[in-house]
Amino acid sequence: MSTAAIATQALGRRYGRTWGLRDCTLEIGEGRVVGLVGPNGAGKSTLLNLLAGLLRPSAGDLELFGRPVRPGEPTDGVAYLDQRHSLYESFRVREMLEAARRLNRRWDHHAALDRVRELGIPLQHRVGELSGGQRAQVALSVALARRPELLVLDEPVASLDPLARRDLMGSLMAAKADHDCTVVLSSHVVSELERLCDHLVVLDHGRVVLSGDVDDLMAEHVRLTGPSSTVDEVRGAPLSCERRGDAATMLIRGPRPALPPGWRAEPVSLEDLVLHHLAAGLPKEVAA
Amino acid sequence: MIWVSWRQDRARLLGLAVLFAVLAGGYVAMGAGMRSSLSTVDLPGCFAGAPDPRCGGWPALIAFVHNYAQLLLTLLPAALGMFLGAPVVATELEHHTFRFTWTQSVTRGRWLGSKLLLGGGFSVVYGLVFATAYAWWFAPATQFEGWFPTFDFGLVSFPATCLFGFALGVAGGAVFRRTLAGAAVALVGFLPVIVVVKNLVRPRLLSPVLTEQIHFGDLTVGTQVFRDGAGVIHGYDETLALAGIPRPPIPGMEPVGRLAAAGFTRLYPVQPAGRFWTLQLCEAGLFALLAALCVALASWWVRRRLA
Repeated sequence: MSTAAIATQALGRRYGRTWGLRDCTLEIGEGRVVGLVGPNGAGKSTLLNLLAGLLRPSAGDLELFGRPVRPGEPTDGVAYLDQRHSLYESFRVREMLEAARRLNRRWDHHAALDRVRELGIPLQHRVGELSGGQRAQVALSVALARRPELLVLDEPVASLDPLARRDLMGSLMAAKADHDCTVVLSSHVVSELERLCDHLVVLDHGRVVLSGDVDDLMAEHVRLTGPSSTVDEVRGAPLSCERRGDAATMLIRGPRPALPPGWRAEPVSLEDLVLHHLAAGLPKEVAA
Repeated sequence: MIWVSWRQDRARLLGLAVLFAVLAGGYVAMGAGMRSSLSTVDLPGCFAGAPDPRCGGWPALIAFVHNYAQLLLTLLPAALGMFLGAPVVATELEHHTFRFTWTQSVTRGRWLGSKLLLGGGFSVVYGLVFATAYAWWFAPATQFEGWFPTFDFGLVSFPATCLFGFALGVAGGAVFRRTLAGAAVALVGFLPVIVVVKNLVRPRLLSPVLTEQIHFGDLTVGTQVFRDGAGVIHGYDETLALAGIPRPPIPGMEPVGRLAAAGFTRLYPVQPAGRFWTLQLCEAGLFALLAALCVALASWWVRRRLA
């Protein structure tokens, strides 16, 4: 496939004078599971709202599957789930599914009913009476019954307790396996994304700090540890360097340099990688 | 789509249906009571609220209705804006459900269209029900007073006023993003509009006709004028000066006979009874236009400003 699932070009969104997202250029292939991480206020929700057609770009272009996205235009292939799993509180679960059926051209009613029944969620209960986990599952069922090509989830588990969190992430993985759609989900907890994502985008202060295939990123980065006294003998430009007493730790991106005696290289965890890039700030050129 | 709107708004729609039904029922009950307790000869004269033994105990109630109740009933269209119109967009924003509603296949334009169709449709029906009850109550008096006393709650203009009240609430709720703020706009915005329309616009919808004789059902607008022998119209003071007659000390003691002798014919500016429905249509058109402006604002706001 030549068209990317998500293609943005210098995409930006301004709120008054401040930019919520700026100069965001991404190209993400179909079928990927994209993890979007960054601290609060980094622009994660802004990017996801732009993808879902809730916000209008202030600058740049946004195309999903080769089609431009704009608020006020139908988004058949894009399902979006917000952090609160917003649904009509006063509706019964059955009515909520009926409402979604009537609001969508593409809709698999049996799949939605079956999924909710399988999860043991009573159809006659009101949405407002459901537990947080059940409500999230109903919202996910609604999203999946639309047979989306792109599933956009804004901090889907942030409001849930640990058990419900695990269940929802499990559901997401199963859904991804069943439907083979492209998924974008955000979190400020990297470990939540680690199992699920094969592409990582790190945002900070409205800018993309890092974007790449998770396996590539893991292979590219290496953590070096050794005595502080010989730090200067390590070649290459470290993304970060931390000295603690006699020991020093460095994060290197790119080919592994020859190491002085007493130094060793070890793989880096995704979480460390993100933290180092956030600490380093704006994107850096890969040291070659 | 309309099912979703109905399911979301049905409680509010039912609440307002009860309100309008109770008020309309009040007029129907009053009309039925007057018809059964008063003779058909006396009945038509008993709607002005003037004390008269032939009207039984009704004048006190009717005076209350004229002086107080109708003032409040004028605000009924504002109630539609406050309780039905303001929540249309604002509750979606307050409960964050716009994140669900506006990310489905249905476009925002169509979504708003269905909400407006449902709320606006019911507003018109409620207005029509109330206006019908009011007209039925007043019907016996029309042989003396004509239809003009019912103009505020006219069968054509009142439903349109209700539609405007609803649309004003929708626009207020969309622009200020809160149901309470939208309700405030619906009330505070409606008051000056209704005052201006009643007092400044309504008399100018059609220019009055000058007549020597006021007929049953005609609405007198403005003060008397005088026509001289050449057909030129003069005001009262000017006519007195032209005729050389001193101004009488007490108002209402116009020396009509002496003016007639001097060749001046007294004329009254009126809206003839036959114009009632034309004027109703004009006013309904005006409110429909105002409603359309509110809808355009709400639609633009939802599609452009809330994105």
